Amino acid sequence: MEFTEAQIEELVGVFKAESIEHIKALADIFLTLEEGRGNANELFDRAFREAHSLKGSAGTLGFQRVEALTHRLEDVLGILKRGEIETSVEVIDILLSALDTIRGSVENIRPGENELTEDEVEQTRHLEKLLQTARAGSTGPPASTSSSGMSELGSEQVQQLLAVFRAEAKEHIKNLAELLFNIEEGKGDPTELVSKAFREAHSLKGSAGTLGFGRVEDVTHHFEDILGLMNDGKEEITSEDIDLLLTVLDVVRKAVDTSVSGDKQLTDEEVQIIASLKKRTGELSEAETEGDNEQVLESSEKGQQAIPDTVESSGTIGTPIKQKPDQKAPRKSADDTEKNREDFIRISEAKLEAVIAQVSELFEANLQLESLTPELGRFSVMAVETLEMIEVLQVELENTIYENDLFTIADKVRNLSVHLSTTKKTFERDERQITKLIQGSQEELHRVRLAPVSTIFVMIRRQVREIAKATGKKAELYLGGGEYAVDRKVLEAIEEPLVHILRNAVDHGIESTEIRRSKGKTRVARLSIVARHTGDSVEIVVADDGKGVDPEIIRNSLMKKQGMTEAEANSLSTDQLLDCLFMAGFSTHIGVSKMSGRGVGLDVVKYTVERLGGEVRLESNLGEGTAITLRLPLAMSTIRCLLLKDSGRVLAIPASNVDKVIVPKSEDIKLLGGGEVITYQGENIPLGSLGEILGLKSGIAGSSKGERLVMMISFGDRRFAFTIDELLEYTQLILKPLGDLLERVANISGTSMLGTGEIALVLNPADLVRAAGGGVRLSTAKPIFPSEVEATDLVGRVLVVDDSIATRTLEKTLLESAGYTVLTASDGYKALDVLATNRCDVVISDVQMPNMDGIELTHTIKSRPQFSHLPVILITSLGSDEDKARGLAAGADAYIVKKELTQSELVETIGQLL
Amino acid sequence: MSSKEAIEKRLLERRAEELGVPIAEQEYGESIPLLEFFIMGNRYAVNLEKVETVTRIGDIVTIPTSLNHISGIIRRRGQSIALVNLRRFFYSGAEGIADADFAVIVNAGGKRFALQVEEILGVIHLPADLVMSTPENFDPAQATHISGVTIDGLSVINLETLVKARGFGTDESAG
Repeated sequence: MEFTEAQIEELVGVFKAESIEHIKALADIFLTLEEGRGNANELFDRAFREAHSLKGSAGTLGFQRVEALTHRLEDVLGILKRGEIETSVEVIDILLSALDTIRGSVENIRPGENELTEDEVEQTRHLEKLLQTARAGSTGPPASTSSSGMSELGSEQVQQLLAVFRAEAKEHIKNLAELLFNIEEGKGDPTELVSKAFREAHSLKGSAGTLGFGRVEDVTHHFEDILGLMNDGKEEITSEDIDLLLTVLDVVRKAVDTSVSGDKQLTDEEVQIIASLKKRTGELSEAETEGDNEQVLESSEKGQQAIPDTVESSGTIGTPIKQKPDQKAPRKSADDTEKNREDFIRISEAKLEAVIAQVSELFEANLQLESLTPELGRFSVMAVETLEMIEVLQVELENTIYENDLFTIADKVRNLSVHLSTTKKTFERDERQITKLIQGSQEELHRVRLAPVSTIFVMIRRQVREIAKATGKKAELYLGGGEYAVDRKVLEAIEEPLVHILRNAVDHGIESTEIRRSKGKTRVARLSIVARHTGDSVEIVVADDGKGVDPEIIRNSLMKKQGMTEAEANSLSTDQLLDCLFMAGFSTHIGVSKMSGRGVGLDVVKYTVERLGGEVRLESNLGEGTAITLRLPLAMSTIRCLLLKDSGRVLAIPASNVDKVIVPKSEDIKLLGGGEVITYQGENIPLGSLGEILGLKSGIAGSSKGERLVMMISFGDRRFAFTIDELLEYTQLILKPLGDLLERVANISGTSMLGTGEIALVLNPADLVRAAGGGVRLSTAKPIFPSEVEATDLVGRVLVVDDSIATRTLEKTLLESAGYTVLTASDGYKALDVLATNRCDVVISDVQMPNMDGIELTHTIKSRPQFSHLPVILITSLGSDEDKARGLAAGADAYIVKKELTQSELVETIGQLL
Repeated sequence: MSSKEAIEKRLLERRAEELGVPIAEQEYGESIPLLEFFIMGNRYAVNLEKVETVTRIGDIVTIPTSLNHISGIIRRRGQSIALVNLRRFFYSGAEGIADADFAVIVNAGGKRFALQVEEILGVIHLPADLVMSTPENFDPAQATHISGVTIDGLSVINLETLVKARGFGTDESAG
């Protein structure tokens, strides 16, 4: 049966959702096994069933990569259950790591992509190793490697590079075959196709040479020669050429699979194919070719002897594993399957979102209908008034010729009035009914989107385990409130922020065992994540009993790193100081920690939570610990708001943040410390003008005289008051984001269409409070991006540009081991993109690349004033004097030939240029 | 209509027909379909494949505190779309005097947004080999976002680099 694209997309969606559930369940089981809880046999059985189901559905849909890796996982579960190897922490590490890879494969799955990625190959290897250990109690020797650059790397790095090279080489071969077929079938411009093929071959040859795959390099070199002739227009490509080149690709593919780094001895097949290629390029006569064929036999014998024993095993690792029929795995009974079919149906998230969007539209349309009710009422009143006027006329014109006509008109208007009144009542009743139905549908749909908080607990347990392991600290984790249901989207969005908070807690919050003991604390630290419902929100509190945050350290950091004056820093309250921890790029730490100094920061936590319509607050007691509270909406699309008017604009603010709207007495408003405050319930609350904060009006808030309307809003434990022009009503609104482009606009979180068709801006209370508070955000603080913060203490930032992933990886590894931060790009255009958004100190580029080559890139960099100071090093396999001259003429500061590449030379060259 | 007028009309119609035929089909190979428009009286174009639709701007909801080159948002089928004023983005805050009543709604770099333009000139099929790199003295504020220019002064906007440009969509200072 042929599936349409839409059907395939739907199937893939269902497969992904189902697989993620299996993966989460497996992670939960592995962690439970590690903790020694539950019956191990039962847990293994459950894990086996989960893995088997995952493998089965992957196999059914032809997702061989997931199937192969899960099959190996299943095998390992078998030997673990039988006790052939011990379920140690290391084994759990391997299982969890394999699960991560499977999850990555599932999330990025595409039908027809069956070649294992390097990560999948690596994980398969780890699982195979466990199986080998169980079978024979030993593991195979690593493949031998040697090449100029690689000799300086560790064996694990070498293995990774080789895996990357093999995957990349196969990609080049696949692309080359496709290009050759296109040339043969006349699909596209032949000159462009040959040119692309030439670049593909060149890249393949380059990375093979860099990594010491002599056989691959040699054959590809001759392949490239033929394409070079055609590329120059010296020769036309024939169908015989295509046949020959496709045969060469088969030979290259075998060479990729069977050779290792440092292996230069050609097989007889390779020698033969090179001879054929040489013949085609006209370098050899027929007779010479025959002579070559005679030599082939000798080379072949030598070649076979030269292939090391390890070839077989390394080739197997890179080859997709075929599924074996599995007899042992327990299967779900037919009844179970039937039951599942009755109880659940799966639909894609996109379809659910589409239904939710349509119901939202219905809600908005109904709001406009609702606004017709007063109109109908007005018509009804007009009809009554008209009737009254006619009745007056009837009296005045009694016994005239108009009497009968007026009687008829009055009768009709009376009927009209009655009809209007009845219609109004029916309309109101129906409209109420429709509103109820729409709200009911919305609630049901939102319920569909809810998931218990516990769905993210597996990930949290996992993270705490990893972080504690990496830092060597001991922490006991308490999880509570997992039963509360929250919008799935909210849960998905807060996964990463929660991980960051946990990392911070373990890395910076919790003290070492020795320090804890000296302070009289328990040896094992306590971490807790507790969810609880509060009205229409859920609060997730992450707390630790660590050392807490010292506000004075923040104050000092503001002065030293953010350029704040002592007076400014001293004016900040403890709350305001703690708020600074959420500023982009703010850190009190000098170095970059492996655990929490990278990736998302607390600013991103704040941004994510506020984007969801929530708020985040941090409380800390020095020496006792820190608690971070994320307050999140239960549902994401509708929100109860207070509508108000200011500066002629209709604005909305979430009702949950509005405490009260009052008309204060003039004596309650006074100037204090340079700003206005309003005294309310014995408290001085800062007062500002909403219109001024939004930039809608100018002037001093205090300058306006007379009665003022003041809205009090709260955010966390802080309160602020704003003067507004007019209060409208409380209403339920559908919050619409500002569009794809405007992810973050200060003070505004979205828009909503009102019943009148007018658009209201929905305000962001968190931003308003900050803006009104002043002093919290530093005007002197330049926005700093995480990538820039990371580099602060490192030697320098290098941009590596190469279309070969293997070469990029090699250069990256070499440079990182020398202390550089390395950014990468796969062609000149992408390099310019990277340069546009990142600071770099030096650019290292290949010459031959698609889209924009290294020469053009160098020229562009040197011609743009903002980049012209950047040193550019060209590293290429093109080693002639003429090539060097071209590179240097374009403005390159140095030129290194790939084959001569060593870490020391590269680092030395960079050092000279920086 | 006189015979002279009739002949002139036929000639004009034939000329219009010829002009309507994409140049590429007449004499060139590979061509790029582009939507051409005016900004600050200059000719710009974007790849037609990225264009969702062109619409006359109705209501603009201005967003206080948003970036200067964001004119506001427009609504289309219940969704909000940011309206980008390229006059301000390309010409350092210049407003210009011409009306800019058209929105070219595009999808690029995973984002949907609208370009506010003065006049839509139409769809052209530009032969790829007529597109040249930007000259060295090209305005640096624009150069990064222009994928090429033609000899007769048309600048082809690279929407992908534009949408990724720092400060194009998100106000980094907004926290």
